[in-house]
Amino acid sequence: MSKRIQKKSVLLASLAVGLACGTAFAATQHTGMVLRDRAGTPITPATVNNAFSMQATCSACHNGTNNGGTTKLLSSYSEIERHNYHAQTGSNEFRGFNPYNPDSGDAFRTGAAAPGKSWVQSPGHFGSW
Amino acid sequence: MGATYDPATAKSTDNAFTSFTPFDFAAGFTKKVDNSMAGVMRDCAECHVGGGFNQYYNSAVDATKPFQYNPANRTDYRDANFGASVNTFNTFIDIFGLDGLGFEATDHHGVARDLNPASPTYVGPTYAAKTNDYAQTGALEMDCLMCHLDGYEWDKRRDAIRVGNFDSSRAAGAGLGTPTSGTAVAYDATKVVPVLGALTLDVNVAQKIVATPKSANCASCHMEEYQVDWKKRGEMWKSANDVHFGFGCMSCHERKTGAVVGTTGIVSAAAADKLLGQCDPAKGGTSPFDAMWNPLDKVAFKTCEDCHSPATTPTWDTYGAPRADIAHQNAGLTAKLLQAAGVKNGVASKSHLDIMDCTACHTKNKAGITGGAFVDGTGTDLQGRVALHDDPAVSKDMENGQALHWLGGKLYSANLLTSFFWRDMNDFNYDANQDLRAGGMDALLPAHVSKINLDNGMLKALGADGVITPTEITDRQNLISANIAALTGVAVPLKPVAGTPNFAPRISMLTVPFKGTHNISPADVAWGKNGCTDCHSATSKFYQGAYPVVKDAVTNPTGRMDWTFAANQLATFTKVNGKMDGSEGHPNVVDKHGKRSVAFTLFNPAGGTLRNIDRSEVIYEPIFKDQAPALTTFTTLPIVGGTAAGITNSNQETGTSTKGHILKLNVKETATGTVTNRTWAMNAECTTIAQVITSMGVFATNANNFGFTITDAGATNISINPQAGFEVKIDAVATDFGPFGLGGKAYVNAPQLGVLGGSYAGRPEWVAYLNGITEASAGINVDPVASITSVFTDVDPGTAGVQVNTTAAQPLTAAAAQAGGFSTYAWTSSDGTAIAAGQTSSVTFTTAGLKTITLRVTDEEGKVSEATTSVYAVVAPVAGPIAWADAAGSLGGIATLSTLPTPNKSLKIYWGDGKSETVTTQSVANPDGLATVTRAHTYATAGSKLVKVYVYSSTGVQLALFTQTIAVDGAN
Repeated sequence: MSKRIQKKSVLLASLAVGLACGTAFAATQHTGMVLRDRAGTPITPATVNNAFSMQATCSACHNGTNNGGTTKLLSSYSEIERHNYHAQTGSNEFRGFNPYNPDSGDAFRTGAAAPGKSWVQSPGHFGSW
Repeated sequence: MGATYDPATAKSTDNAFTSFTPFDFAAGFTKKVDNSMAGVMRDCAECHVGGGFNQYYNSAVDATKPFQYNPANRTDYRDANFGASVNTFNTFIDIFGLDGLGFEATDHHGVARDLNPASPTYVGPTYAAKTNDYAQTGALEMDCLMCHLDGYEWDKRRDAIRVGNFDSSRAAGAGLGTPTSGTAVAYDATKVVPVLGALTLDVNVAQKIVATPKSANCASCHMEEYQVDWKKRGEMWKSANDVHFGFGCMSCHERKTGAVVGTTGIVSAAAADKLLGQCDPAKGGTSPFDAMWNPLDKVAFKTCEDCHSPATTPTWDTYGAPRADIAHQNAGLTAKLLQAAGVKNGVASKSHLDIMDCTACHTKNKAGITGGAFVDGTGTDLQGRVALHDDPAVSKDMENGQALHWLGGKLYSANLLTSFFWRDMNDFNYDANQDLRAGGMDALLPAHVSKINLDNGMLKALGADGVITPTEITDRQNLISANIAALTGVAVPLKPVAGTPNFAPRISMLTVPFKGTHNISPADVAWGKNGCTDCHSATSKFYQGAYPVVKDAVTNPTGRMDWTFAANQLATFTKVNGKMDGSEGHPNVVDKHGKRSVAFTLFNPAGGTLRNIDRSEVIYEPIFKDQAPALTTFTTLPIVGGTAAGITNSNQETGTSTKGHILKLNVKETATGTVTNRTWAMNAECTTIAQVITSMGVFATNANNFGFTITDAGATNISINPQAGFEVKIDAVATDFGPFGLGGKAYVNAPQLGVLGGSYAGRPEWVAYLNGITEASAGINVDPVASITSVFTDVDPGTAGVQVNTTAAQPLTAAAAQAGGFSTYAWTSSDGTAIAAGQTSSVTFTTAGLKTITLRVTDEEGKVSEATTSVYAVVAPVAGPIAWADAAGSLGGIATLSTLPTPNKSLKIYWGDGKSETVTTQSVANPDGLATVTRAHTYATAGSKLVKVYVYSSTGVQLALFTQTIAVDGAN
């Protein structure tokens, strides 16, 4: 990317963040929200791999701050994703293969699933097929 | 991972992760895996929102965190370098085919698809291993718009991810454009518009982004017809079937006001971790069948009671919920009529509301509401998925489709869902699913079954046409037997004598009671609305009656699955209660007391059809049992089992293995009281007890001072022998009593007493007892009447009122307060004398005076009645000590009153001639009164005189009464 284009992109991004996070748009808070790639770079009509990143797009405003007082405190993507049972579904309770142990203090390891199914590795959906 | 067994201590220790390096299956992937994490992304992630394992893998351990998991130590798949590793994160089984449409006949444009597996342009599933290149597919970030965009198109996301368009799936689901690859999108110019060169969201989309998810977004994953309803818990949430429908999901699932947001990502019970995240809807209670991030269960959750009978003024929105308290009370549901969990002695202490969740009575289904009867895991569905689970063929009409189950001593509504699947019944030395355990049930990999079906005519799940026959099953068994070795890569061993393969494909079934928490009925159609007989009646279908499982002309004519089978085709799923009782029920289906699994079966393996179980079979055991002393009480005496067939029945011909059975003992050192657990898992094929004991090694010999030996007791029995200084009991949770012949030592029959009388051996008797309970027998809506029926012995009939001695126990009796139900009887006395409660009791007054006795009866509904009676308590007379010195030549004399109780204040002397006098004994000189008093008295006539002396305290309390008959001479 040339310096010129890079500079323009930063300018556009700043402007767009200001518009989307601020109160200039009365219609909705998300009108004019800039779609961004994973690196946070605004996607343009010329972008080849142009699937927008939810993480980067939302994080322009939902970044763990109140964006200079223009919004209420908005948790960041990471704060939401890592502490979300819909997203985690057992990945943060992962025990690994063959967790059964009749002497364990961990109820999951002594429970009904683990003894017969060595492949069950978490109480959630991930690792529980 | 797993655990490491130490023979020196007879304990297993959880192994810690040394790394999170993904396991490399190499060429063995399809032999061992059927649904990898990369496979989940293309299948399950149609609903699972992304993030978590859909976006990251755990790439470094953190010993300081629970599960050694630290969200900071994760790597996005797009940044991962797995090299040549073939692992669960980068490899998947192809179940949807090239275009993601499985076995569908036509594509999205109605064009016929090439479904000839032999064709070079075949587009269907191959069930082969394929690599997922995240550089091409992108990754499944958490898709916020799945919940927060009104009108999100779930099916567009599904279509995208099934072909690996992960990054572009977000735009597809949001309707912003069409994926052209995993990472590229053709955006819809009406929804995404360039502003100053950057693509931005148009107002027509932006205005649909909402903070609180619309119910339709929740329902797209949590509520669809057929059995996905039951698994995803939005069951029957329909306008026609849920009184709360109009409020929407987030009315109940919104968190209570003021809840703090959690951000740690760590699962623990620590306060900072036990908080809902910003986007977590508040969720309901723990279920043993739904164990996902349980510390967040009920956090900030609005329960039914929080709106319908809040204890304090709610600070949350109750949406005008009517209060239920009065209606429940009028229905007798607050009456203390039931026994608590763990209580079998017939003493009621709990109400229906204490023992039953709101859903038990308030969930009903109407005709026409469908729900799942089965998950058919014998093959694929039309979409290529490895089980048939959300199709009309495996569903049923849900009218009469509710049951009950116990959780933590409380009854909950249940939807019973039965999954059936292929397994290798052979336990001996063939690891049919390559899970590194040759023994056990060995469920076959669904991917293997699907591959076999594909290669043999593109067969589908047996139940796809709604009919399963013995011939169909036999054909599939033969196909599986002929092809399994090629898929596992391991030849099936032959039986030494018979020479036939030691492999036995059977269908097993597992029934799980999913908690019914939606389809809430209004009060006017709730169970109990018409009185006790709504449930307590032999014709009721509340806790009894056939639960429709299969198509049946009588009980389930609208059922869709017609099931018949022959011998050697179905096998019982498991044995519960220490491998003693065969059951199709999940081991977590337990009784009210939570000590035993409730075993029930759906079929006779000899052949026939499935049976519609009775609802009561899921909540009550056929014969009530309880833990025996060998499980509850340490002993120094040998514990000798019965025939230990399960650890001596190794037989390669029948495919029976003795490996894996657990014996766990709790050992107490008598001197110190220290309890240590010792565990043994059978790891040998045995046919005699001697072999078993040899295989145990030091576990059986006390060589390591475990505190016991295990010896051969003859007749294929084992004997557990506590050693000097030690006491032993059998671990109630982990031990497989059945195989070790310890079943008879583990449990004893334990009848349940009824609160209204009687002793009941098991389910049939108990259900009959419950059916006989009526409003009248339970005393509901009957006011108690207190009535004292005591007959007191009047020790002084000549005096007005009833006089009773202070030293004598006075019997107290009350008439029954009501004909039915049961009441408590409490007695009090006006002087504070303690009186034991009970319909019969007694009181012994310690002081004299007028006493008012009050009887207060309280019935099962909390209604109260009182009655009173009064008696005079008097001190019983004591003979003497009154000495009379008769004066010579007169009718007078001097009485000496001695050993008077002190301190006293006064005496009253009745001389027996109609005269009396009061003597003050207390004075400045004698502040405690006098122990001896002398008084002169002159009678008018000679003869015997009965003298009475009352002694009083300074407060007027009678301290004593002395009587004595004296002789007045007059002629001496």
